[in-house]
Amino acid sequence: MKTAAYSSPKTPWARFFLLLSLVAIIFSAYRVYQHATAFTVGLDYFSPEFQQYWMRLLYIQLPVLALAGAGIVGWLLVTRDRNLDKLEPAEELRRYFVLLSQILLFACIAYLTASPFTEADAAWHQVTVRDTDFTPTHIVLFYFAIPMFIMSGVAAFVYARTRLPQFADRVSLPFALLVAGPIMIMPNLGLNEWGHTFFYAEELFAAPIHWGFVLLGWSAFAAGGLLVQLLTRIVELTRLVSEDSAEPQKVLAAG
Amino acid sequence: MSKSSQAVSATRSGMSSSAEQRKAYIQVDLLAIPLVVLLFAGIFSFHFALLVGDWDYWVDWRDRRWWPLVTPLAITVLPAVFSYVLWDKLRLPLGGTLTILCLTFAAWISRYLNFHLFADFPMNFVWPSTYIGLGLILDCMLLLTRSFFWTGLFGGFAVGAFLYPLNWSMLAPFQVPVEMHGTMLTVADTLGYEYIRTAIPEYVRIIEESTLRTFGEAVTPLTAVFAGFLNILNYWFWLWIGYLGTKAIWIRKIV
Amino acid sequence: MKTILSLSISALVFFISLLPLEAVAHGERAQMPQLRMRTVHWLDVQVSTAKLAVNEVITIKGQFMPSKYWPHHVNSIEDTAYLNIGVPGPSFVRLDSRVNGVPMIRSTSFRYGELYDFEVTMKARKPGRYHVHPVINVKGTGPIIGPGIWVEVTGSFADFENSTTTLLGKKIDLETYGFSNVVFWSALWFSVGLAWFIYWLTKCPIIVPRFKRAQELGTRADEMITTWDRRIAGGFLLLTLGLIAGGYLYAQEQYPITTPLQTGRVDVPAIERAPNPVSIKLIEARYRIPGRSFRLEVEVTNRGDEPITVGEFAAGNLRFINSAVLKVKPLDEHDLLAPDALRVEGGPVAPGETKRLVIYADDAMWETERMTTMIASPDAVVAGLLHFYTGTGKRYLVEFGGPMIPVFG
Repeated sequence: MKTAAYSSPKTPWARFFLLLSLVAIIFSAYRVYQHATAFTVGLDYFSPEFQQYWMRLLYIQLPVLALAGAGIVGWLLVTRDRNLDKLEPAEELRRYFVLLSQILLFACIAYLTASPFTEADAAWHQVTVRDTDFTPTHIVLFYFAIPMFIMSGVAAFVYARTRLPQFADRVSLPFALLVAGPIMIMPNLGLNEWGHTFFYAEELFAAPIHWGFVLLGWSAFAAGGLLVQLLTRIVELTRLVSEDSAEPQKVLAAG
Repeated sequence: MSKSSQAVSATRSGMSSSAEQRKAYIQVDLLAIPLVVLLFAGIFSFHFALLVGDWDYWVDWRDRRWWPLVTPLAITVLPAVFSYVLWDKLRLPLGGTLTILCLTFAAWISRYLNFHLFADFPMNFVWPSTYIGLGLILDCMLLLTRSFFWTGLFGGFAVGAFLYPLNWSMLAPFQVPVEMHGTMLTVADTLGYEYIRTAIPEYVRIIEESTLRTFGEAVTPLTAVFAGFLNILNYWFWLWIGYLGTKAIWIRKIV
Repeated sequence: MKTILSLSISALVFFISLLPLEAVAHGERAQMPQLRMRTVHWLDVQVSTAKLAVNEVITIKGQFMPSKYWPHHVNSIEDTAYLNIGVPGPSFVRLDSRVNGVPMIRSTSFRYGELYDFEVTMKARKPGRYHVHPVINVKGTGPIIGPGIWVEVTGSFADFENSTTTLLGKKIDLETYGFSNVVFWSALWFSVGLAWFIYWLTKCPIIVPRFKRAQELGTRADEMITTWDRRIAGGFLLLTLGLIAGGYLYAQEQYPITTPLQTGRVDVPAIERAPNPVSIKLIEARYRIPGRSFRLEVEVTNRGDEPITVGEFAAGNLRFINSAVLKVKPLDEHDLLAPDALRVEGGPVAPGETKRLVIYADDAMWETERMTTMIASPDAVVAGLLHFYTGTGKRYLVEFGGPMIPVFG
């Protein structure tokens, strides 16, 4: 039997931090804009100022995000690895690091979306009068941050599907759930807005009308399953050339 | 089993040395630990905002009856879910403390950014309660008993029972009585009345609702014991969800 | 990278500096016209000053009348309501609020058709220009917004002071009270939690090796826990329980007297008012869309001793004034007042007379305030308040209400 030893591949940290800075700049800029304009030109949907400063932003960001999302996923699909059966273990391990760094970026966006931007919405609606479905915090949260959240999750999922043998010919249910959660927030927004218009007039944040969103946050409880799937393969790929190969094989089969 | 693993087994390959192996392990840590921290921060904040929300946002919502009942039920969810994967797969007793640390960190950032800077409330009106001690109890008990059963029975109960005394050191000053226009209020009520919340009228507060028929004014201890009882079942239930979430399920396709 | 960053920040700062920095309205235009017309009629809303400095006090007062035509599909103001103020965040602090002299700290309820006096006293907290509205929150229905008035606050936020004295005689600063204590305990707990996390991080790399080891050990994975781990955990558990108990006892000792949060309801007794000699019957209400013209035909009975004429027609916070009777100036550029938009056909109603009057309220406000969407309602019933005046300046308020027919041509 031949042996092939390899050293540890590197995570593309430079690229990761570049993307992270981009995300940080966009989100901070949006936050500064929100802070400066929400209480001034964001209180009345029917005012010309609102149309100018907020609705225009909405009309710009939605197509831009849709195009960017389609572009990223399209690019990942077009440039997919068509020879996965010939993939070297060292390269496979490197791709796992890339996947983990993508999920890390996903987690950064998840944090920004689910904590500061969600609670900006809470703070806003508890001190102002809700007028339409488009408020300065909704335009940021539902039509910008959550689409970014969805995009980053889908991109990581498609990356795994197109570049990692383990994910290429079968679907990881926990990964699919993790990505489906943020996507499901968008249709659930329908319940939220419908409810706020039709039967629920108060701005209690923990109200049952918001519980649909919680369910979707809970999709992240499947993260453990994905971790096990990733680690099982990483253990196999990081074993020493001198180690007996039978045992890790068994682990993978069990997984 | 994927094609690649067959390829790996055909050629006996592996990492060249244990130093290289360690390098790979460190990279996984560098990627996965921040990932987990951010994901916990995001998901827990989201979950907590939508299930506890105003009880944690405003000091005039932290009553003796509802806040100590609702909060433990919501605060136990992530510690139970993630204790399963972290303990069962990694033997790390961090599910309680780490999730709640992340929540606390995110809560402080959000309260400062959103409720203080954005919506202009003084910090003493919108500070987050502390729950870190409850996470520590769960983790230490899990480590010492090495049993989810005993952790649920004693730790789950402790989370429900100790939430109020844990926070009393911070809350007590806000329940000192004040007179306003011939009405007795607490300092917290005074803050709630003076610092205007247009969309949070007084009647929206879900506090102190009861028949006022109490046994020797023992409202808080009774609530604490009841919350503790519910929380034992709550911990076990969410642990089971954590067990389901940790399953590394592969499916052939998404139907 | 740095250049891009600094360029983007300066572009953003420049862009934001171009923005108009004042709040215009509070979303009342989004509410259905029927809801605005048939819930609460506000009148004589005024502020004690339109300009004040931080720490100075302003009073907003006026009257309101819950409509007798309150829509059945929304929860009633006769159940639970709360007098509030619509300002963007706590730019003011509320020192006092009263309806008919009763403090409105608690929630209450109001009766249909009853006229209430309200007064809210606030202290300016943050400089800016604000559109201040009285608001009544109705449980299950949401905020019912009154007319807005522009108020400018000058000075510096840093100078703001707000203190009170507890019943134990201690003077406290409400802006900062208790917060340093909160920070102390929060930081203490955070440090303890972080120390526990760091203890496990010192075992790094922890993820792959521990995962591998746990897999290998299977049911014996508990062997991964060392004696030191157990000692440390025991220490942390004791520390945690000790801190909880210690913190609790410390707070009990520091604050031996505390009371539960206070809640409950208050009743607002009605004010005895002089009997109203005027009554009306709505014959017909039509809204002509192209002309933005509201035509009202009513039968008026005057049981008083002076002739009366219609001086004002008010509906959904819009005021249409008959300039022949009343001279009113708008309070500011956004006062929803048409000083010369009311035309009354039929002349004064003499004492003892019952007479038909036709009233026209024509103004672009119907359009700009989105009242024209009343034709899109599934329940096309309108209501409003007519102000009748005698020659000596006495005012009688009469509410009308009934179906509205749109005229499209």
